[in-house]
Amino acid sequence: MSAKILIVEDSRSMRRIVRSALESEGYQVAESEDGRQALNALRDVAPHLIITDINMPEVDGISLVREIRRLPSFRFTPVLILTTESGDDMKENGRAAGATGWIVKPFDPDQLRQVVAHVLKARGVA
Amino acid sequence: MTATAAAATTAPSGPDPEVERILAFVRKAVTEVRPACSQTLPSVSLTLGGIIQATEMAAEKVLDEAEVLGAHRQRLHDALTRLAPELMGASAPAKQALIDAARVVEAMAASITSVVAAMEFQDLTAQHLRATIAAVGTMRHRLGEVLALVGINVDAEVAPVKIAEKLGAPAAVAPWRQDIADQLFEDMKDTR
Repeated sequence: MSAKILIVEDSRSMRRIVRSALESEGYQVAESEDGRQALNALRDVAPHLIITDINMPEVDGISLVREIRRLPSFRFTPVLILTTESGDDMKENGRAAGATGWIVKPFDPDQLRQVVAHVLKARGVA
Repeated sequence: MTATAAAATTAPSGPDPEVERILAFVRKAVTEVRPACSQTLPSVSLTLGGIIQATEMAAEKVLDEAEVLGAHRQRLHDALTRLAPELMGASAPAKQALIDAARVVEAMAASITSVVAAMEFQDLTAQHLRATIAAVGTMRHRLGEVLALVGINVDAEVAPVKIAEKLGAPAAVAPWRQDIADQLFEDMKDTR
């Protein structure tokens, strides 16, 4: 069984780019356009990993991470932040909210795949 | 105190040249700021918004075509895989041609991946432009407040955005070009 990854990103083109990078590695990918939609989709998708942007309408990425950490079923699900934000304060906010990792855009698809593989392996997901 | 001296201290003084200079400067500044607040800044926001839309459409088109190309590449790969056993007893040049074709197919995969990844520019550009649009909006709001202080209500006097000159700009492409054309009609109503 391949790992399921939920991409949370308001830019359609960016979702397609991330999807392309992950599907080429055999991962199953689901998409949400913002944090609220992602929260609604969590139970159906049951992702092994979540990749989220920060600047999104409705619920932003940091708030999404906080909400995810309040859900018992997803308390330990890895969440990677994929964003243009690179300030230390923002990273600290993400870490404090419970994010697993922080990748700054523009991202290298190979680097993303390596980080995803590393995080999933650490969680015992092939 | 002499009579002359007393008259000099009690007579009304003329306008202070420095105050007059400042007032003239403020009047000129308000005259210049008003059209910027009511027309130029909204026009900038509209144009930047249109650029975001145009780049989104362009990126989507490129991604669509990359997907199609990827599907073609896969079919080519599968065809070569089926062909390979048939060429086991073929001549050396035929076998070499198959090897070359297989290499090209693999190279295509890398190129398609690069093209898809390069489309990331759209999201980055859009984020910067949205931040700029927000900054322009804030600036217009603040300018409006300043003008309101001197009794000018900018929102009540907003003129249609004059953007005719942008029709010839390279960024003015479909589909938002039609929006601009429609807006041009609105602009022209004022001049008829």
